Amino acid sequence: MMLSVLRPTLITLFAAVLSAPAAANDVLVPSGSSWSFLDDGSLLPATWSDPGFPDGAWASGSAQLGYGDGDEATVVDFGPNPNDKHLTTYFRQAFTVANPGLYLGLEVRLLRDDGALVWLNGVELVRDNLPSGTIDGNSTATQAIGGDDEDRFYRHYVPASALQSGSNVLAVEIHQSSSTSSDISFDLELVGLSEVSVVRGPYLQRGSHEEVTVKWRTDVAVQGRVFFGAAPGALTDVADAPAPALEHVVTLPVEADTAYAYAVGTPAGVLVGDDAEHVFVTSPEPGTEKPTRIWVLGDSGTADSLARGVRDAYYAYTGTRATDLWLMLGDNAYDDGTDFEYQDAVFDTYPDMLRKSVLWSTRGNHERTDDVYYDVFELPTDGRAGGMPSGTEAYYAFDYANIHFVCLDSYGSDRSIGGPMWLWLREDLAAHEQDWLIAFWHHPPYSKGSHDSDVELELREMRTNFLPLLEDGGVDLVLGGHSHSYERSFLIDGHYTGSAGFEVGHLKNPGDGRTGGDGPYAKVPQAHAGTVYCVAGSSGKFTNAILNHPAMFYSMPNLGSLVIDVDGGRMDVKFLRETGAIDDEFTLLTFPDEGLGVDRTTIAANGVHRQRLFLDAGPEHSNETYVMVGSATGPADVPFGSYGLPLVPDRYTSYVLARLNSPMYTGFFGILDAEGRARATLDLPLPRILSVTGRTLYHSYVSFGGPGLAGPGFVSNAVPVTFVFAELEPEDVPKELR
Amino acid sequence: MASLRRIASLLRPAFVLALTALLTHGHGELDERIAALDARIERAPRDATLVLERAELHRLHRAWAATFRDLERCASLDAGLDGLALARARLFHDMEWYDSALRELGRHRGTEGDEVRELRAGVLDGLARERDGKHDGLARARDAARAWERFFEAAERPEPDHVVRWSAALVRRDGGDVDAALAALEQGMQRLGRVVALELAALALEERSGRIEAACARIDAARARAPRSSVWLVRKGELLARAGSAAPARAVLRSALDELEGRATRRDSALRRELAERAHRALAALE
Repeated sequence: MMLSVLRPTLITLFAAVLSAPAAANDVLVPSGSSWSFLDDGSLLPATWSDPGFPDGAWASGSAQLGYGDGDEATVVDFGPNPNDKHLTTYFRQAFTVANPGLYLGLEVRLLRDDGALVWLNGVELVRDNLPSGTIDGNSTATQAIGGDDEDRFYRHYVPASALQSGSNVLAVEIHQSSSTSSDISFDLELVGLSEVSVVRGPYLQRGSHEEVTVKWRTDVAVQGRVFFGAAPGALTDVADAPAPALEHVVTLPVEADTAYAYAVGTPAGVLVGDDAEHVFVTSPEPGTEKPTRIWVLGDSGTADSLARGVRDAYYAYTGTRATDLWLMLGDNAYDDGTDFEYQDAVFDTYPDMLRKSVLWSTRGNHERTDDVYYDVFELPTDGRAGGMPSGTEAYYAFDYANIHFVCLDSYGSDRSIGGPMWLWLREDLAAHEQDWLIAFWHHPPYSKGSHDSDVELELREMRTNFLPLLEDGGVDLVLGGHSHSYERSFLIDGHYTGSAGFEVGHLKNPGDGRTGGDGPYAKVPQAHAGTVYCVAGSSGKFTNAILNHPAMFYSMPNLGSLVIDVDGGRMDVKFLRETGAIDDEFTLLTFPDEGLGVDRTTIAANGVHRQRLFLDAGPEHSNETYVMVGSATGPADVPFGSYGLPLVPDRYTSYVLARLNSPMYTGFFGILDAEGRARATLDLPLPRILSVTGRTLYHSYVSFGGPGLAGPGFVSNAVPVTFVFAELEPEDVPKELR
Repeated sequence: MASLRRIASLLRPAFVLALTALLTHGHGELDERIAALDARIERAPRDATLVLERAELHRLHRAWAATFRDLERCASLDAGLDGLALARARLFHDMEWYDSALRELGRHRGTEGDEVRELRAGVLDGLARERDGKHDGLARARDAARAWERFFEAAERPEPDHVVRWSAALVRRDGGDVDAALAALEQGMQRLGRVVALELAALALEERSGRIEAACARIDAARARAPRSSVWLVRKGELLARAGSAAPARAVLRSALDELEGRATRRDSALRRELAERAHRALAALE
């Protein structure tokens, strides 16, 4: 009767392990209390849950009640035939409430094996692990409960409207998953909630330069409100949820690249927030260059000390440097991604990061509970955060600063060429013009970890069907999880077959990508300029495996997470261990089509003294002679013969021209290769660096088209290098640089 | 001979199951979960729900033989086990034995939630593809279309994939019901947004049925929404060229090339170069 009335607000939820009730809440029925029970296999009518149903002849005993586990306080009977046990056992308990008006809601803490239906005064309160529709004595639980789940109390938040003044009756029916199941278990604690508490979040979702979404959950259905403003104590704006609920979703209109403080609560006031822990900075305008830090977790959903170790190592590493956004690569909550498991593995494990930084996610194969995954996350389906509308949260795109992110669904969506996800990706890649393109999904295209990309269907299909598209679109970095290890490729392109087909020709750069090693991976933002592929599925567990994929530069079965720092045309990626050590790192450089890129724009006297310069004039200038030019004055558009130099000629210009291809200026004069490329190095000895500390020098190059140095050829952009460490007196600066 | 044929028919399913078993590969934590269930089943060998749970893991593993064995064992332990028929239906769907899957769905007595509706639509879709061009092909296609429609209306979170399959079920080799297919796509776009896969599917149907003006109007609307109009301009030019409207096609293709080649771009991609090549090819064919 009451069910249809209560249904709009009758939302039952699953959360963490039992803990003490909040202050001012009352335990109306304690765990371990005495229950009347009927265990003779009777099939009771629907009225059995009514307060007046006769149960005077029933047996009674203290919880935990059940059989088969050896931990019961009261053992109930399953009938004469162990291969045909009673499917349903019934329990009732009366209790008294003096003033039900005190309670805004109820918390039902339920231990059940296998399924349970809980009634209060004839009103259904909780249905747990049972199918929808009519339940009778022959109904079976949806799935068998086992392991730790047999001893766990699950929290359900329900309205208090069924509570009466005076005598109340709880009626609980425990259903087996089958007549051959080995055990049942039951206990229950009922708590009257006198005040509203936030039991999940708040956490940030779907951030863009124009809006950000705040989500949280309360234990009592209330009208949710977000208070927000420039700083704690100055929350001048409010935004309300659409209706009273337990689950609150509020989207805030915001300014780009702006710091906000916030709190969540009700129109009556703040529940949580308005402090230094509830702050965030919004996304910058798309296309803006802004130093950006991204934290990436893969397969982190173990909710144990290993995941917490990885987390703590990152927190220690990043310190006060804020995390601009973070990614989860799937398998966020083992085993099945239930609401309870998400509470444990995500909300109780990363509460600090969740409230300060927007989390983006892709589905893993352990996100088996669709409804939960899509209820937890708010992901853009309509292109509102950047990119093309996808129509689904399974795959989507978003922009942050000068980075375009593409999230694909390797688990549940159609992976075929020409399918909706493929078509969407094609349109999205053709439309974006950001400096960087990062793609992520769960099943990695290359792996010899705990999953083999030569064999498993999802990995193969993502490789053959989507990599050509992504590499056509000039993707820079591809992230995946699934294999519980860390594997990182060279800069590669064009490898779409099994590992045996990997060839030297697929290597765009055979080096290590390290600034202190073979040098960064430098590329122009073009199709097929090379991509680095990372498997980072060891943020909660690690598995030993063969780890010998030929595309990989580095592979280890170690715990860790990825830290990605993007600054203009530079991307630094580090694999951070749970110990705090950096096991692997590499740098990607992308530079303007104008043809000159560098691996650094500052040189420190007490640091790396070398600046690598990457010349890329394009294949139309192949085999042309080039010369680097320098200026201490700066960039300008200066006519010079048939050329327009981008630098003001000065004494440093002559200084460099007199020392082309000396040890300080390696590769400053030469011939572009068949691709129109070359490399140069500025490598000043320490005394020279000291002599120019505080100064900025500029370099560019000119190529000469045709024989005999005839022009015009190619004129590059000018890039700076600033020398830092100690200021020198002007008289210490060499005269040619004054 | 008859006995040989009978033996062959009996062996065929076993052969297929064995062959697919050979092609499977360890799946890491799936193997761990299966091992954990093995231990539980050893302790409680008559618990049919544990065996059913293991069957599902084998199915995810694509180990059909092991799945089949476990489902048979479930049936012997508890023939009326809830979920057994549905589990069989899932297995047969994955194996593309659609007739068998449909039969098992008929035996399913549980609730008809999103998952069951989607499975039913997928099974009927598979049957319709198998029977395409045959005497009962149209009837099968109609069944599939109705099933997709029911699924779409009831599903909390339908996806573009579902709408594409729904509209595809309405048009088969024999042409089918283009209006109904377009209506399905429109319904999908109203609910999911102007998703490119659905727009392109509608465009293809409009062109196929000679509704060139409607197709051009669709392209113009999409172009107005898109951050880059060149991709839609190229499509429109190609469409007009195929429809024999040479002069308008040339004008549109030249506009596309102006945008593609005239605009300074920060990031070059093979996709843009391909668009430009397509536009050039289409123009050349019109000369």
